[in-house]
This record gives sequence, structure tokens and C-alpha cells, in this order.
Amino acid sequence: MSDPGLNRSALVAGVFFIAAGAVFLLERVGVWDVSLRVLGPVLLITLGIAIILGGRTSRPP
Amino acid sequence: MSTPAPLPPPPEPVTPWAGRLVLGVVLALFGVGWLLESLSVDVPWDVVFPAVLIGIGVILVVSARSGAGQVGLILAGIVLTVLLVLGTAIDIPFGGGVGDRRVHPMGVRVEREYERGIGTLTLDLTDLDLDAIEVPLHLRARVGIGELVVIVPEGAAVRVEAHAGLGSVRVDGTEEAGIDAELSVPAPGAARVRLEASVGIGEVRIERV
Repeated sequence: MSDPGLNRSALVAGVFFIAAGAVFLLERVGVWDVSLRVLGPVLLITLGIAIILGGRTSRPP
Repeated sequence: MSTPAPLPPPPEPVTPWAGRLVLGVVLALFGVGWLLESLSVDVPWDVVFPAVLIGIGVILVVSARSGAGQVGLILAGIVLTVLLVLGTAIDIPFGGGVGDRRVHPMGVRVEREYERGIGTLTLDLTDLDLDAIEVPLHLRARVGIGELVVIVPEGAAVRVEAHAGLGSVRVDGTEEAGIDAELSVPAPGAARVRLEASVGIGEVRIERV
């Protein structure tokens, strides 16, 4: 059951930004040596999907 | 006759206070960072940008239950994400500082790497004692967004490898431009210095004097 007071866009975007920020932080401090040339586009695709999903609203029956 | 049920009170407008607060704090922090850079204090932007992105995410998740609209904060997060992705894809050194910088190493005192985040970096190698330095010397000069100018003494045994993620490179009258533009010029004779000069977005210029 969906919470009518919940801002899904904010929630989805928030989770995405936390994950993306953590990945970038780990990469920048050298803890995680991942190829962001690949991960960069993947992040953008995920962001696009997150925006689409976050924008969907549950309609009352 | 039954009386109509009273209408429910209109919902209180939800103020996105958290979004405004964070956006204000973020802008103020960037301002402080910029000011410190202007005063020649190195700010670790490499860490600051992802940390701010995480902060924005946390505030969005925490405030999501209130139903408040956080469009400004979401847009700020998107812009920051795109900047970080671009910075990684085209190798922008966010930690290199902002503005113009001129470096003029003398004798044998030379660093292995010089960088600038945004602006112009001029590296003058004319007073470097190429006969006395420990060879082979691998020098790297990088600019994120802007211009990189390296001045090399004429006839010096310097091998040049120049690269621009998006922009142009000019070495000895030859120019390449576009995406991933690069030029490689061998040293006259055996190379004592290998110079790797690159910009993310902008221009690399190697001048022989």
C-alpha cells in the first residue's frame, strides 16, 4: 500500500544520489579502482530510469 | 433534510524548507571553497563534490515522507552527478584549483606533475637544466577545463604527448582538434624528458622558444 504523503521522486532521487556519491567518493580517494568510463554512462541511464519511475504516481481506484 | 458533511480543511502548504536550507548551505560552502582557492588554499574538491552529492541524497530521503517538493535539490543533484561523470570520463582534475597559474621550474627542481582544475596553466621549462636532471624524466601537466601552455626550449630532448578530451592540441605548428584530439612529437635525438600534456576540455599548446 502506498503512502500518500510520500514523495517518491525525492526518495528515488535521494537513494540514487547517495549511491552515486559513494561510488565517486570511493573512486576519488582510491579505495575502489573502478572504470568510471563504463560506470558513468550506466549512472546516467540509471538516473534516467529513476526519474521515470519517480515520476509515476499511484492513482486511486 | 440532512446537512452536507463539512469539507475537510485544505492541506497546509508544505514548505520545502529542507531543500532550501541545503541548497543555501551548499552554495555558501562552494563560495567559501572558491574564496579559499582565491587565497591560495587548496580545497579537496575531489572529495567535496561526492560528499555534497551524498548530503543531497540523505536530505531527499529524509524529507521524502513529508511529501515536500524538492525540485531544486533534485536538479542540483542531477547537475552535480553529470559534472562528476564528465569529470571522470574526460579526466578533469577537480582538485587542481581554479584560475590562472604559471609555473617556472629552475635548474633540477621540478615536480613530476602539475595540474589545474579550471583555468590556464603555463609551464615554462626554459630554465630547467636538462643536462643535470635525473633521466628519463616523466612530466605530467593537466588542466580540466581551460588552456595548457608548455614552453619548451628549442632543440631540447623533450618528447611531447599532447591530448585534449574535447578541444584542440597544437605542437610545432601542427594542430588536431575535436574529441580525443592527440599529437605525439618525438624528441630530437634520445629523449631526456617525456612530457604528457592533457586537457579535459580546452586547448593544449606546446611552444618551442
